[in-house]
Amino acid sequence: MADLSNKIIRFGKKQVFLPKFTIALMRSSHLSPYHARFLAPLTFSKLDLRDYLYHAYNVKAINIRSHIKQQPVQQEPVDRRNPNQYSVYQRRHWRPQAKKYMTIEMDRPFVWPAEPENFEAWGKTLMEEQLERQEDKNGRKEESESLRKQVKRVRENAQEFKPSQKVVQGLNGPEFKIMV
Amino acid sequence: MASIPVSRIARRSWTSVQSDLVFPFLSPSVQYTRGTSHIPISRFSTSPSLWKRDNNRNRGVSAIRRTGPRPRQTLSVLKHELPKPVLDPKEKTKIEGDEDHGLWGFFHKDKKLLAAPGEDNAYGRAWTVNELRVKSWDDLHCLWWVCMRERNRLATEKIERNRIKAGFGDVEAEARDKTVRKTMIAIQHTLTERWYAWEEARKVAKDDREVDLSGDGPAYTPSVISVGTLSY
Repeated sequence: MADLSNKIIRFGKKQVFLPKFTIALMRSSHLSPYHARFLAPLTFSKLDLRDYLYHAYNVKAINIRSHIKQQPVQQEPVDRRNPNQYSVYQRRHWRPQAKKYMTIEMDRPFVWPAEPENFEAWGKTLMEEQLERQEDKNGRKEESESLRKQVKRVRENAQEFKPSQKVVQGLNGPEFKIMV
Repeated sequence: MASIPVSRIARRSWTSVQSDLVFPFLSPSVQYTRGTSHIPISRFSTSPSLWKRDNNRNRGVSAIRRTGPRPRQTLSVLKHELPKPVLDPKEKTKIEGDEDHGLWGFFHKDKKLLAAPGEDNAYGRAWTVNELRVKSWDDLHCLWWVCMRERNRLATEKIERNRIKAGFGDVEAEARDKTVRKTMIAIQHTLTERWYAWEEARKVAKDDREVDLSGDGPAYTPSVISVGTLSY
């Protein structure tokens, strides 16, 4: 790695004194400790990131790769108390802003700190209980449990399931089959 | 075109005839007349070879002369066994990261993954514009970058908190972030104020005889110098 760390890094000449963006370090356990992954603003370039990390955190980025991930289209949530307020077609659709992930290669390894062993300080059990109660209140507990079981069954024996055949009979016409 | 090298013919005839102890110049045709069924004729081409070297990869390698394999020779056996990939993550060599790595700046100062909601909640208030007015540019610039790093830490921890489903803590972190942002706005406010103050002072100084904005010589030359008139 010695020759890599000596690689000349040149920076831009435009000075930015008060930048406003936020970047987040993301876990990249599938990569080596010499890699780090960031969630950066969409306007960020590789040169920006290299410059920023060197001057703000004293991290030398030897090589950078970036990736923009488009987000799935979302629908306006249905009002539970008034579910028929809008039909499916009236509901607004939108796509959240895409996310930019940037992975750097460093000359020195960084190992993430371990996860906390007990989550008492975060009230994890309390949160889980609350969520369960909420599910119960909405009457979705049975539904979700049943779904969970079905998914498990499908996953375990995928061979068992085949597309169903429904017989549709016309008023006077002959029988015909539709594959659904 | 290369001619037939004479030495080859001469050498051949010499060796073949040598055993019979007949001088070749005395009877040049002796080797042919001597002949029985076997006539040693070397078949060769007179045209030069197109190959720079022949395709024999083992040229020069001899067990008798103990040359050993040629450099970078691929053998059918290996000197060392092939390394086997370690698939079990538990058996992999544990890599120790740097203790003073710059990326620790994205975490709590105690080098832990997540700050508890109580710790995130333990903060005072944002800096006010009034407090910042007396600060120098260096101080403000420093404070801005402290705020930047704090916001990055909060953003990092938020993603991590949701990933491991730690529980509560989003509200506290969000409130802290809001306070940090308030400080940043106050810094900008102070600097904007300062800029306008400077700009207005510059406009006034343009028409002032006592002030020299050219940059050569003293910037301020008072026209009336009163000495000892003031008494306390």
